[in-house]
Amino acid sequence: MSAVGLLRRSKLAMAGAGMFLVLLLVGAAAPSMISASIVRDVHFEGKLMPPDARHWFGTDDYGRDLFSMVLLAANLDLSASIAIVAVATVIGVVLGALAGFVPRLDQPLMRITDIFLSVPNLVLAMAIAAVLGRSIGNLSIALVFVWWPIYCRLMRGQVLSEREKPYVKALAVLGVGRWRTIFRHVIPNAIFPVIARAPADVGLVLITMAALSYIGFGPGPYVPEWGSLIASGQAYIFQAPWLVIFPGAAIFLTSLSLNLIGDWARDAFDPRLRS
Amino acid sequence: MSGVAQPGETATLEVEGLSVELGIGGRWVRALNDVNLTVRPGEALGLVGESGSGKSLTALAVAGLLPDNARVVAGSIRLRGEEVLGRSEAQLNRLRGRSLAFIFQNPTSYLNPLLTIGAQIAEVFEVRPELLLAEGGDRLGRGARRELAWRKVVEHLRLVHIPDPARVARQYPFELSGGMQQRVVIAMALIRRPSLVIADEITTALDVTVQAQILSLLAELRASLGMTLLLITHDMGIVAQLADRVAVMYSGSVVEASDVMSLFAEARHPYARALLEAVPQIDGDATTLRAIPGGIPAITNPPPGCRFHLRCARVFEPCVLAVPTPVTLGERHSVACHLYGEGRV
Repeated sequence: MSAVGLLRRSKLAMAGAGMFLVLLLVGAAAPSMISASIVRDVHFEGKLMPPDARHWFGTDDYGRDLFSMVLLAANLDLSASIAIVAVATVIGVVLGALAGFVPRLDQPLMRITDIFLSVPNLVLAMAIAAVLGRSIGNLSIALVFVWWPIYCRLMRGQVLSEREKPYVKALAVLGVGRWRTIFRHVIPNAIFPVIARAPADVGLVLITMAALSYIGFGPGPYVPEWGSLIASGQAYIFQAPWLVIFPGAAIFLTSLSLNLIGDWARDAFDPRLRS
Repeated sequence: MSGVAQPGETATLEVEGLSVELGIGGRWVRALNDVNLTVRPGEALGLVGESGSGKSLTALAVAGLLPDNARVVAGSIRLRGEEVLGRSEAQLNRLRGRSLAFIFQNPTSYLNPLLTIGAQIAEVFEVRPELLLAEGGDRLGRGARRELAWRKVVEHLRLVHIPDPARVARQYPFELSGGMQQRVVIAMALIRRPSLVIADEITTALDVTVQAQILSLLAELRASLGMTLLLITHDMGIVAQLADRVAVMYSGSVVEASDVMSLFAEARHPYARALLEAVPQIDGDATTLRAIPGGIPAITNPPPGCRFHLRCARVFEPCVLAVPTPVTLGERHSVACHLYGEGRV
C-alpha cells in the first residue's frame, strides 16, 4: 500500500492532515486578508470585549480583534517552526552523514553534539536567545541550535548501522562503486527515520517556541505570536479568559494535528508496513 | 590441494597457500592454514566442513570481503589469473564486478529494502553498461536503454522460475518469500554472467521444500549456462547433488580434496569418513544418528600436530607430533593425514 493509501486508511491521520492543511491555508492567507495595521490599531474603549458576532474571539486589552491576531500569529508560528525543523534537519543530516562516513570527523562532531545535548532544551534556547536579543529570528536561531544535534546523532547512527548491512556488502561484490553505494543506497535508507521524525518535531518546536515567547524570549507585543498572546492575556485570565483560551487552543490543535501526522509518517516511511 | 590447472587452461579460481589470521582478544590467531583450492571453468566445487572450519572465511577472502579484524598473512588468490589480494578498493570493485558473484546465506538482508526488485537488478546495467553491448545498448537513448535493461531483468527473473516476473520486478523485497528472494539474488548474480559464482550456505535459511527447489534451480542453471560454482555448505547431500569436486575443511585446513564420486565411495581422511558416516541414511536400519565425538578445537588454542587427532578414531604417534602435509593419491585426489604418508598407502 502506498503512503497515500496508508493515510486514507487511518482516520486519525486523515483528521490530523485535514486539520493541519486548514491551519496552513489560514496561516498562509492571513497576512493578505488582515491588514497589518490591526496590530497597532488600539481602541481602549472596546477593550476586553467577550466574543460576539463582530469579534469572534473577543478583543484584547488594547481593544484589538483577537481573531485577527490569532490568525496572523498562525502565519508566523507555522512558518517559523517549519523553517526551524527544515534547517535543523538539513544541518543535522549533513553533519550526521559526515560523522557516519568520515571516521576522523566522528568523534569531534559527536562531542560537539554532546555539549549541546547536555544542556536542557529550554535552558539552552533561553541562553542563546538571551544573548542574541529579543526577536522571532533570534528565537528561531536558538531553536535550530537546540534541534540540529538530535538529527545529527540520529543520522549518524542510521548511517553507521546501514553501511554495515549485508546488502552493502552485496553491492560491493556487484562492483558498485563507493559513492554510488553511499548516495543511492545507504543515505536513502538511513534518512527515512530522520525524515519521519520531522512532522512530530514541528509540533514540538512550535510548543517550545510558544513557551519561550510566553516567558519573554519571543517577539514584542506588536508581533502576534501564540505564546506571547497567552502571556499578555494571562493578566486578565479571570476577567477575559478568551485571551488565553483561543491562542492556547490554536497551539493545542496545531500540535495535535502534527502529532497525528507524525504517527502516520513513522509508519509510512517504513517500507515493511507498505504491504 | 586440488590438482593444478591443466596446461593451456586458466583456472577460474586458484587459491594457493592461503593463510589468514583473525584478531581475537588483542592477539592474532591463525584461522586459515595453507589453504589450496582450484576451480576449473564449468566446474562446481563443494567446500564442506563444520561451523568454524574456515569455509566461509575462505569464501570471503576470495571475494575480498574479509572482516576488519582479519588479515591475510600468506598465499595468493587468483580469479581467472588475476590476483585478488593487495588490490585497492576501486580495483577490487572492478575485478569483482567483472568476474565474481556472491550469493549469501540470508537473502532478505542482502536486498536493499527501499528499491523494487527490478530497480535493484537493473542497477547492474548502470554500473556495467557493457553488458548491454550485445543488444546494441551503446547506440540507444537513455529511455530505450532503460527499457532494454528492464526487459533483460524480467527475462532473468523468468530464468530463475519466478512466476509473473513483470509484476515481481515492481515489488519490494519484503513482499516476497525467502525462496523468492533467493531466486532474485540468483538472478541478480547471473545477469552479469560472472566467471565464478560463490554460494555460501544459500539454502540454510530456507524451508526444506524450498531448499530442494533452489538446489534443482542451481543444477539446471549450471547445465544451461555452464556456471562455475564454489559451493560452501555443511550438507553432504547438497554436495552430492550439485558438486563435481569436493574439498573437506577442518579447523582452517583442507584435509581432503577429490571428485565427489571417489569421496563418497572411498573417503580417505578419517574426518571425511566420519562426516559421511554422520549423514543419516533413509534406507539404513540404524535408529541412532552417528556423530563425531568431541567438538572442533578452538582456534585460539589449537592442539599440537594434526588438529583432528583428539577426535580421530585412528590416531597414532605422528599425529600428536607433526601437522600432516597433503599427499597426492591419484589424479586430483589429495589427503592430509599421516595414515597416508610415504609407504603407508
